Amino acid sequence: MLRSEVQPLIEEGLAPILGPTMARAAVEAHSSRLAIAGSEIDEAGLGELLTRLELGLKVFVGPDKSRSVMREIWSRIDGRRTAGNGS
Amino acid sequence: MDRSRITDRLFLLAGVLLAPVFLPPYAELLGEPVRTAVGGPAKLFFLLLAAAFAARSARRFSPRSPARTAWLLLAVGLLLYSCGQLTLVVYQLVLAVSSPFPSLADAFFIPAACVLIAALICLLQVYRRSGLPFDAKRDFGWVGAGSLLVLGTVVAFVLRPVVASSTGGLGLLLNLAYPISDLALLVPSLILLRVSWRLRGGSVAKVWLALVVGFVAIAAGDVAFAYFSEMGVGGLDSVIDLLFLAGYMSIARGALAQDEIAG
Repeated sequence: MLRSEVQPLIEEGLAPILGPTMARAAVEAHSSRLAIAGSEIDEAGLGELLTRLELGLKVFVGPDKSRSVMREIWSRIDGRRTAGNGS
Repeated sequence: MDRSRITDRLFLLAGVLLAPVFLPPYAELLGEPVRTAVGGPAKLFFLLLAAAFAARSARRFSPRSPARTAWLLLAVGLLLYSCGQLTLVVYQLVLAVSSPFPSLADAFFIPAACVLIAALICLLQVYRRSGLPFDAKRDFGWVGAGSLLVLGTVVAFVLRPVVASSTGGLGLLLNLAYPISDLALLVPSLILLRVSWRLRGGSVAKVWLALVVGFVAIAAGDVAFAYFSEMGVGGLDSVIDLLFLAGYMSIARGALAQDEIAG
């Protein structure tokens, strides 16, 4: 998937809890650490990125809430994929 | 309207109803008995509320999570504060005497401050290791060193005349112990404020802002009490009471906010 498509979806999911600045910084920092900061993210990279973000989120809101935030992000990404395939 | 907004409005309403009891001209009109009868139980209520929701927040983290330990320590510290406040309420409303200083309540308040300091340091460690991009040197190091320097200077300035004018004894020891423990509590609080700034716009920032405002208000109350009581300046008890009440309310709001976002 294109980073320009997926990154805003992840940031939107994290922003209500971490704020928009930290949401963006967290996605960029983890992408950089995982060496997936290019213009495209593959499925494995995306999964690893969201796992790392979930670990960070857990510290602030506990496992249940962080799991539900991640589910919401995955569903937005799936929705975008479906829309992309349909068009 | 969501739960967070309803809670905000309830706290605002409580503040609007309680503030006149401590502020002129109503404080003078209502007199000290009303202030004691309302203020003591109100402070106890908000401390118990804060302790209960801090404990509830702790339970939302997995058993081996260090965040659970930190929130549990926060709950224990607030419970110890509640025990101290309960002791004061017993003096004032059950035994109908002015609460002495020093008293049994201090045996709860001082350990409470130590446990809260441990809780905040534990939380800072947890956040630093969260993997989120905090700048350890700037967010934790420089803010910690800067606030230690500024607050240390303020506390030293306030405490010098207290030490000079005192006849010594346990009263002086406690009047030194409270502002010094507050200083130790404020340094991690201000680092958390810096962390909250990095999280601005998110619900986590609201939790930390409320807790930090609460700790600052309590510290201001303790420093004012130490200064004015040792200097023999009277008539400011109601303002000091208001600072403590505002502090406890703010901490309770923070604990409730944590429960809201984790729920």
